[in-house]
Amino acid sequence: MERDCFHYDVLSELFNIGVGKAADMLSEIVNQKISLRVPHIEILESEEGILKLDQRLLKIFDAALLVSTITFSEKLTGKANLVFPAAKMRRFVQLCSGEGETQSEGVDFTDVDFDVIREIGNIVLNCIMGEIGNLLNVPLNYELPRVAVYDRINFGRDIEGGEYRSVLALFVSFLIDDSEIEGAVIIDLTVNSIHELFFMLEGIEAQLNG
Amino acid sequence: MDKISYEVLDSLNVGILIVDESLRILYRNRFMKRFETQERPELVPRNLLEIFPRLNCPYYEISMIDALEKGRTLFFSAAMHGDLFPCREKYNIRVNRYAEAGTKRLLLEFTEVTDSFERIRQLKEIINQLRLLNQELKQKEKAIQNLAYYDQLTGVANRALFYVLAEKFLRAAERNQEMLGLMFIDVDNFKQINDTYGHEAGDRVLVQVAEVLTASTRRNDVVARYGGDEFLILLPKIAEAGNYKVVMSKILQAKHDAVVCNGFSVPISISVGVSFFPKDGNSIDQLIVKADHAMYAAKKRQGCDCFCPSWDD
Repeated sequence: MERDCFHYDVLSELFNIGVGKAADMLSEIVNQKISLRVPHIEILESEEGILKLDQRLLKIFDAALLVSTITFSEKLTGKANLVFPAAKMRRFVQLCSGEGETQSEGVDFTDVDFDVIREIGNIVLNCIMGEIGNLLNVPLNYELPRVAVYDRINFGRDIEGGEYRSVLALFVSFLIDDSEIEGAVIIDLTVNSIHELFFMLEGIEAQLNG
Repeated sequence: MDKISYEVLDSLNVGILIVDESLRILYRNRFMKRFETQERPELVPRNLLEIFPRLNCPYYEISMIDALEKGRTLFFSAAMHGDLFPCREKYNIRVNRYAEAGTKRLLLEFTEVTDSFERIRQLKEIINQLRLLNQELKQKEKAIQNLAYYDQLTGVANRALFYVLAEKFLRAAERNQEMLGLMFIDVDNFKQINDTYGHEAGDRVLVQVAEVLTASTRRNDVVARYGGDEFLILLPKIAEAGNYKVVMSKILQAKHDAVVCNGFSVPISISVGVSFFPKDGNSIDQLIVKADHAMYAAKKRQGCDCFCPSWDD
């Protein structure tokens, strides 16, 4: 249990730092205060864990989802997905691209919108995965995010049906203009990779304990 | 790089810029010449910041350092970074690191997306026009519906709408075994009012009567102009027959108000007849006939404004 707590505490700290950096960068670009909160982190191993994640996602997301995904390999293998409700992201995209508020509230995003979402995803995921890579001194190589609109069921299937069997889930909130957009960062890892990650964290713990 | 590589890079419809760790330009392809100043073409820019001076701010500095030291791929979208370019055209920028002879280089790719912005702008304009047209059509549809179902003078339901609602209320009363009341209202001596005071006065009398009837009835009751100087009121879900008297008393309180028209005070008097489903009939026409007769009975009885044959006999 103590070991699990340590993993949770270190990862929480890493993700908070990463998310904080991402928020600062976004604030500077759009010239408006953007906060990113990480209220809750879950480490889920096994099929039961993934099912629990799906149920948790159901409570937050009940419609179309906007997902930015990066895939990494080498020392750690897996995918990181930045997930937000598509309808709520529309307002955020308009703000980032300096557009006025439009009457459209649907999930019809243009090519230009997708570029903005790609950039936001790149900043947030880079900052989060970057902190893991920095702490563990592990290079994580990945391309620009792929962006797609999913419905919740298909996204759930994407996680369940993949080769990755362990999930780090961060439930985040963007706070901008007094409105809050709840989302999640879902990091899918192979079984080997999650064990490798914990092994590296244990190495750090050993160093700290002398 | 060999000559063929240079030719290939020059033929690309993408800008290619290679810089070293100090952002000194090592290579730029032909596409990139569009960003150079036309005033002194002989001056070849030596540093990235000479072409894009707006990159000289903390956010871009930190990002470039991240890209050089950690190998992060950067992406600057045209929508979020349009002010980098001193021109109307829009570009996405992608930045990757690579190594050459042990030293780090940054490869910057510039992709023009002006067409996408223009296409989206046009589409949004069309969508906006369609939205306005849709709003206009909905307003016209509402106006047409008003013309079809509402009396233009008094604003209450017309005969067509009355029959639609009456059938609906009658079916509900049958199903739920409830009472449905129907009042027949006639303006006394209406022809004389028109002849004496003119049609304008007559119209104002009708408008006032409609207002009085509407104000006296419950929210779900229906006031309709049946024709000429005749009105009908539907009273659904009447708990007891005697409850019609509540509506009646409100009508009677107001009915003696006169209408002032062209300096003349035009007195108003109305007569009312009432019938009920199921006691007085099983169809709307039967109820109307019964209420009409009751109304005439009221007219004949001096001092009686309202008559209900089922209950008042």
